Amino acid sequence: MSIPNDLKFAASHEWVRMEGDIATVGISDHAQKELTDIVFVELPSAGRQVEAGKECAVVESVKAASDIYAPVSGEITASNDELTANPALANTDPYGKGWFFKVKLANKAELDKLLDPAAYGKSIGE
Amino acid sequence: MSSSIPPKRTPLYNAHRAAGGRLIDFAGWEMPVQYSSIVQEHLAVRQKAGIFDISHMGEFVAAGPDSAAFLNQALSNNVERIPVGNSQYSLLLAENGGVLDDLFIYRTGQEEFLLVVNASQIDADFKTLQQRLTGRATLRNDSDSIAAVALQGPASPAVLDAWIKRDAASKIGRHAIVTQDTPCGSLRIARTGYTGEDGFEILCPSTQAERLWNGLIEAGRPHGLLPCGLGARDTLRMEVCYPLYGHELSPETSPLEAGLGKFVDFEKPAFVGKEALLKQKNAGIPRRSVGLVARPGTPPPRAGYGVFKEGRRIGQITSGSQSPCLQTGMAMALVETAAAEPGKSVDIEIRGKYVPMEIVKKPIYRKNT
Repeated sequence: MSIPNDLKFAASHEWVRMEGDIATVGISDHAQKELTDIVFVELPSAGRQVEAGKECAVVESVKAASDIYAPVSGEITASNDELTANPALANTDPYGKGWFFKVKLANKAELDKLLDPAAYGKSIGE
Repeated sequence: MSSSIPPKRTPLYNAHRAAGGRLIDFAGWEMPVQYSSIVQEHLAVRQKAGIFDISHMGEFVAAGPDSAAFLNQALSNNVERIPVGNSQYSLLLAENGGVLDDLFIYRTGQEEFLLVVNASQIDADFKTLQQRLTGRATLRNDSDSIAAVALQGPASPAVLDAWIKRDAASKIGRHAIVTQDTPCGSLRIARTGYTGEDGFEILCPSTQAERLWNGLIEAGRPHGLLPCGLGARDTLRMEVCYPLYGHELSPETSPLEAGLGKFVDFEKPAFVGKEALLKQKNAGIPRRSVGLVARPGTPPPRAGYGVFKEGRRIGQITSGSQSPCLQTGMAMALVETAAAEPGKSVDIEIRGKYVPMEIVKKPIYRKNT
């Protein structure tokens, strides 16, 4: 399973990539493999406030709908329209074109609560 | 503290694990939901071939001089209309007309019938049928000793012939059942299935199941055959609007509401549920099962979602998913009869918002359209 070194992870399988105070969020390779056949995403709009640990997006596979939780709190600055139009990008490029949304971080300390790649790998039995 | 009953496993459990099957609990059975991807497996069956483990399903044998009379009283359809070597879809009803199970009946002899029932209903069905036994008829539950594999898709005749190493498929008519020499000995093979495609259901002793499965995988490889899980089985049957027990069918739903009236023979002098269904037929059938198709880019509908018309709830979705062939949401729903009109739009409530879907003439998906 691919787990890039420069990311942080939530136990609920979202990843975070930091650039300044903007966090880009997506779902892990492990999560997309578990879901397979992703056919629909519902992403938060820019301007919406999200709270760490609370559901803020939905991803649907052929089989079922699953909630996506905000790994950090803050204001949504962008969501991935390309993913909305082509949800399979979350399967084919989970850490790249399959990103979900960007959050302007409200509290940097929340990053310390996320898992580093090694700890996340351990949590999924790698 | 609750005691947990360990899930049952079919004789193909090890084969599923070896093939990378993702196992889930289904009606108390540990079954593969998918191997590679539901969409890939679904499309393999529509375009080439796929095999499914259906060993969890139940098999009963009814026999004896009065077996036909017994089944005609106990079930909705008329077994006298099945020629020996053929089959029929039927329903096990309660006195109030509700559906206890749906099943396939194969007439394997003048006085012998093989009944294939849903895995979740094996014990209940056997008990109900035993209570309905009359005259010189016997009923036996062979579910534990019989395994079964469904080979489905346009390439299935070629795969079957390749496995048996002779022309066998062309000798089995639609809905027929034959006894055929195979690499696993003499087996019963029926030209039936649950996918809307041509295909076969092959019964074998549990001890031969792995050999049958591996033999078909080997013979099917050049034809693009894939092992398929319950996920693809569900989307395949949904596209062609085959009902699933616990979804379209339940003790609270009548076969007339489910659109299965042609499998209820009112000409028979008597059968369990007849009075209640006649009453419903004369009074008017309150609800109908319809097929629904969504617009591209809208979220897939799911079982349990409410169906609305002009803001009023008129029913609910009984099965829903994304159609791998149409690449849009698809569903079956039980709605008020007045609203069950193909071509009309209804609203499905998904996460607090209305999403439009169109009522379509069944099936939802037709080949070559």
